[in-house]
Amino acid sequence: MAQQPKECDKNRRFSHLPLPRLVSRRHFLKETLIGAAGGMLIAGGLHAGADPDERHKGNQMPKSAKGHIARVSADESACASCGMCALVCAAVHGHAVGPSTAGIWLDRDPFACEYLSIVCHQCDAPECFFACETEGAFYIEETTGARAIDSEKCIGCGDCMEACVFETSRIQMDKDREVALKCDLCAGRPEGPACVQYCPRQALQLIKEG
Amino acid sequence: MSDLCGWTGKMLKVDLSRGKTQTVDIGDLVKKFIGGKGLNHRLAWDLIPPDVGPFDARNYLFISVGPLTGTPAPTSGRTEIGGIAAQSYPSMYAHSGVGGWFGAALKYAGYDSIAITGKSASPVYLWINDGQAEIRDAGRLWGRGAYDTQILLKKRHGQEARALVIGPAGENCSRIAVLLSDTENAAGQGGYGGVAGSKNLKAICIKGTGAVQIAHPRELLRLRSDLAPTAEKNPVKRGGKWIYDDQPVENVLYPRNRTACTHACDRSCWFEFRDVPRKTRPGLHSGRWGCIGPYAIGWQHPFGCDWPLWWQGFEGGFETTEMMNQYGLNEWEVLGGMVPWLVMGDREGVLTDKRFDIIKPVLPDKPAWWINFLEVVTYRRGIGDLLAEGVSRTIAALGTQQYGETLYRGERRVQTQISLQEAWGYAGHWSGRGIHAARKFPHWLLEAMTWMTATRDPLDDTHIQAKDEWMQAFEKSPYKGTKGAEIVIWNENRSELKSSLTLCDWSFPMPDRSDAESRLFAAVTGIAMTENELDRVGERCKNMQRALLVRNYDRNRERELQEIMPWFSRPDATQGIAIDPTKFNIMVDTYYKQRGWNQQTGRPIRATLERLDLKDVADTLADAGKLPDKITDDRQQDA
Repeated sequence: MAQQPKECDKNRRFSHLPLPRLVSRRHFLKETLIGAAGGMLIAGGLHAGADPDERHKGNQMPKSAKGHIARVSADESACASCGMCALVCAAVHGHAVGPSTAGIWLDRDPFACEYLSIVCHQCDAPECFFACETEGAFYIEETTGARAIDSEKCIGCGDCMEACVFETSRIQMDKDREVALKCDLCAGRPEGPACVQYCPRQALQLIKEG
Repeated sequence: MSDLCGWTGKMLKVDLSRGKTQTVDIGDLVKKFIGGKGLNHRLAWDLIPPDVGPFDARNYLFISVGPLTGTPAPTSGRTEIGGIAAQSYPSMYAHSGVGGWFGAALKYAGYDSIAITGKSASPVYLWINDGQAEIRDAGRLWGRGAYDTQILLKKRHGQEARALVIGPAGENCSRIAVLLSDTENAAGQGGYGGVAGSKNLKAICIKGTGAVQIAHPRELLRLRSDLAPTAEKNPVKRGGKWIYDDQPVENVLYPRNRTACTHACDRSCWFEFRDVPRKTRPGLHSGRWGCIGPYAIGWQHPFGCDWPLWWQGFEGGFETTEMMNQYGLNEWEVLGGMVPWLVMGDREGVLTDKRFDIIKPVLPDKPAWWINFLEVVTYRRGIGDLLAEGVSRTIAALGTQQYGETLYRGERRVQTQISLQEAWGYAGHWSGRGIHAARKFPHWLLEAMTWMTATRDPLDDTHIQAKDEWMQAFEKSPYKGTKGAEIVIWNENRSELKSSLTLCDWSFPMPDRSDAESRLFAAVTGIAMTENELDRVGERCKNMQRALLVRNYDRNRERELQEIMPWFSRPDATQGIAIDPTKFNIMVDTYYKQRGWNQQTGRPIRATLERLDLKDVADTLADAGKLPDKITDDRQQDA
């Protein structure tokens, strides 16, 4: 787990300690199946011999991501509320820069001085990944294990956004290109995730939980 | 989507009298005047007739951003407001910048600018949702504080909606009312909150989900890294335990942090506090301070104060600043001009007008006094009706001799007049007297020169930056050399640029990285410009404003000197030095000459305007008989 919030901050919301919304029936079934199999990732075995292309439609658990983006400090005030994380995310991915073109963004409440980083948790059991019905559009990136979207193949149906287990979906729709967009851990970028590199307060990190 | 990079090329024109909105193409205009402040100058020239006053329905509120706004360019999230300013004395065209996230939202919603004119019959707010604009009823918002208005708008339009709003002070057409966004982000000077109030415009609320095209994103990110301050590596410092300037502030018990006041800023200058007990608005316990805010609790400012300090403790100071924000009052005017003047006036016994009784005795060390005082000013009770017009107008109405020129014999080392009004209706700023009293001679000569050609306190975006060698050359011969004028002109042109691009007042220009603006501009827009070429655009913007002042107000040298001389003739706070009018006139000659302005009138000549691609402006001034032919030089010049 990430660091626990300080006592004085216990009533605050923390972006890196996100609360999954109510577990969906599908999620429940999947967990149950996995649990019944002794916690091993053998659900795919139930589909042994199935077409590999069907993998994501089955219940085989993909390999874990190497981590996810989170705040360095449990004290959320480490964030200076500049929004640079979202801006550089969009820029390094070659997108026009705006609130719907980044895989990370801030949920700001300036009147409470609360600034939450909203970014994919790279779940071990990625509902988004399983929800995608478009061949090859949602994939597990080879080097980082990031749950990633191929914008060339995405049809913008929004199923992955709906499937996200967080109250605020960690996937958003790129309004102009009409494709879903999420954090891919900047796969293939030698310097690692751009948001971590460019955060002026060094408030973000790539962490591996558990 | 626009084929421009950086700009959207669109302006939203709003006529509140007719209830109409219209999208206008301004692609050519932004290429010539960049955006923000420069664009506002030109819009004011084109759209506002010369005889229009601030509360005239024909006045405009221009709200503009630049090509860098909404991009990762450091500190680029700022917005520039323009129009005939209510606070300037006499009323005239001015400008005001504001940080926050509003500007980026405007760009993402598809606009470089909003131009609002007319007057609504009843309170309204402007709702812009991704290129769709609507004038909506603001009956339920009217009368509410600037924070509460924003909170209601966010409930109505979503947490991601950004708003620029007025408080009750603006509704009451106060000349010292602000346009506020988030907490503490205010277009403070200019009284544009009062202008909005006169139009029955409570707020502009924007939701923008579009995007800005960047020509060279990799280059932009490289520049962002190059220009960034060194990131703090110590987690204790970068977290919530950061103490003001590394020193413990023992009287502050509340969590504090340094935050960015503006979208895309990498500087984090501001202080942020949480869980502070509140009296007047329970429920809002958090807030941020930048710039003027810390004065409210009497914290010593690094640049010193030239007035009696007061001490009301942290909670009282916090209450005070948050109240000013809720009411939508100009903190600079209140803290930098009005309250010090009242303190000195009360101590010298000059506040004899009966209307002052409602705020006497003047006790700014007592939070209860502040609560009453701010209500009096906001709702125009007793003397508040006059104070809402700003200190300059109040002194003029009550009598300058008693209320402005009475000598204060208190703590100050050098006796001084109680008025802290510098010029054009604004309290002092960076000039060795009043606020920033530690600014020494000859540095404040540069400020004096900058104030001359301004229409408000100009040090909001001209904090006078210079390379060490420039300053050394200037100090050798401050009055007679050319370096002083060169430093001022460089800063003024860069000031136009940074408020047009838009960039932060405090962070730019960078004398040792003087190509930062041109490189950022090229990376975002794809239009390659050298540093000198972009400086010429800054010069164009300055001359555009100059032409406006000449056309509208007959601005000239004599008037400008008259305006600044009383202030700078006061001995400065640290060494007791006053300006030498004769020698300063030599400096003015040099400045006008280098500007390409006529030395007797201070007006641009035709050749200057044509060199800056402003031939149409020159023609208009010629038709009005206000265009000198040459830089006549019949004064005795330095050898």
